[in-house]
Amino acid sequence: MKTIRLIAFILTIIAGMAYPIFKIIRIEYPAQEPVVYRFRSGAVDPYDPFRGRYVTLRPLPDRIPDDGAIYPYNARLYASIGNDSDGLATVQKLSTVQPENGDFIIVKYRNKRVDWENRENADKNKKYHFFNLPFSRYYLNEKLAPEAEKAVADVTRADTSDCILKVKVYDDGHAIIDELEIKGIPLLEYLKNRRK
Amino acid sequence: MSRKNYKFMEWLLNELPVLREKSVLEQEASERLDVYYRKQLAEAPSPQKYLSGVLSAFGALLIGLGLVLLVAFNWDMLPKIWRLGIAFLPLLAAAGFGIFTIAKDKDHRWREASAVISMAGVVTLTSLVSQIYHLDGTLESFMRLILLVTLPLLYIFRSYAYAIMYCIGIFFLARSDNQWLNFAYFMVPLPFLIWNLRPGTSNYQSAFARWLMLPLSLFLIILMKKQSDAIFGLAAFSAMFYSGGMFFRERGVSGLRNPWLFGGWLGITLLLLFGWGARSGISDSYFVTVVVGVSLLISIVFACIPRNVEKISGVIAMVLFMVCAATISEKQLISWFCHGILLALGTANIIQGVRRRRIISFNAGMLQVALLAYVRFFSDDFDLFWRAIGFMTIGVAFVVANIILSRKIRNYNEEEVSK
Repeated sequence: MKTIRLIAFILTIIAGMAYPIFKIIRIEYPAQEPVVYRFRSGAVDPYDPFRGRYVTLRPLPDRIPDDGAIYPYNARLYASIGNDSDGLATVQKLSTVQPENGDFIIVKYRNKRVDWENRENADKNKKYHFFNLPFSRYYLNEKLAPEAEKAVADVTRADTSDCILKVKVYDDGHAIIDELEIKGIPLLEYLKNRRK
Repeated sequence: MSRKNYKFMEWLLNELPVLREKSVLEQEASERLDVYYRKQLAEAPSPQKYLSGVLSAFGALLIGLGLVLLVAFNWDMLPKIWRLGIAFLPLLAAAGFGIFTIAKDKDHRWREASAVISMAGVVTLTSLVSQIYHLDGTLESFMRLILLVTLPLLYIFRSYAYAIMYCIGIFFLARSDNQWLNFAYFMVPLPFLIWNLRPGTSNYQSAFARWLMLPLSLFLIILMKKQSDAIFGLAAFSAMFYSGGMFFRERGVSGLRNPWLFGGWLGITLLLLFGWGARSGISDSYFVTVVVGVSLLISIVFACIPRNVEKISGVIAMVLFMVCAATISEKQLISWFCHGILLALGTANIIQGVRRRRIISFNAGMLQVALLAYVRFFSDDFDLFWRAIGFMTIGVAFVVANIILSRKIRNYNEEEVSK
């Protein structure tokens, strides 16, 4: 009985390590080198009880013009991505099947609606597909997070292209944040400079 | 095997000299009883044993929480490889601690601490990796992963502290639409709790299992999503806890050790008073049908071993309530039906209380009838004067009825003694 319990416990510990190790291997040793894209972004500063303080980012673009397709809420879709003339990431197309060519990211579909954010100039006849890109958290030391949030808010109020998320996009559609840059400088360095 | 009542044994041991002195018991029989019950008491699990278990689990919990907070601080001044290395340390330390506990067959304090620290180790590792790579993901998916991979700890260490954390953690999954997956999460700790309810386990263990079944059942009711379905779930669980609570009361389990009885009674009373407001026909959810069906079946089993009018009346009341909620759509009619059932149940409890000279059953019935009278007749249509008179009348009725019943019980006991 003791041996069975011992084996079961060791298996439990291995199971507890399995997911983190799987993630580390997938990120650090990908079959194909990831491509780095630069996404415009805004930010707010919330808290996760287990993982600590983070800056919630709102990576852009989070919509494409309506192409007549219908997707259910929360559907897992493939977003084909590319770069615009400024070198910033764009989403070209949403699809339910994995694209054969080019880079793509797996996104969660939200809804199709008019872009009401620009209230006064909203075109009621033009609808968009809205979706969530799978990278919206940038974890930070809890002392730095409020400062970072303020810095990001100050910068993005004027121009969202001053706050850039460098994202590694892997060939299987997964993406992770590599760096958060403000005015071309990594966030931590930017905060250090700001304090001086 | 019936549950051992150690307090009664202590009382009896104190009584033995008196019984000998009054020649109720012979010397030899008294000595035999004395030896027998002293041995039983010596073998009894001491409250200190459980207290030290609780304290060691609490200590381990604090260590675990400390670890999680240490992680949440975010050590971004360290290089990534260092942080990744550090992330594994708590779980590796917990593994060593757990292996030592199992290999040396340590007692329940070590087992509790091992389970809690191992869980904290998994939480720390997963959190740190998420933090280092800025991984997305909801709290729900995080908790689902943690509960899934750490669940064996419950059975490996037979840990009550882990069971409590699991029952809290499971509520993070409630927002998910996948009812059957969540049902699986509900089912997995159930054998552990049921095992603790079997005859022969200590009072503390079985009381713990009874308490923990309440939040687990609440989780199932929350999973039903629609208010009308949840009402059916609440009715079925109220019936189950009421008859289950009665079942354990018959075996000498009462007060705080038997929360099912009060929980079930409260559920039945509130549903019959107000629950009819959420009526909406028969549920088309297969999940709801299975949960309600199984709960009712368990209620019937509890009510029939051994058969008892009080237990059965609670189950019948809830079945009738469900029939009314499923078939009657007219608001006035269903309210009359439900209140009629409550009146019958309250009256039955009063009668049972008088017949069996049980003051708790009597007062439970009185309270049901009084609440019904208040809800039915003391609405806004009555002004303050009449409401005041009504309250006082019910209060006086309570006091007088209790005095009469107490006297009756005392007279009966005196008659029994004089016989």
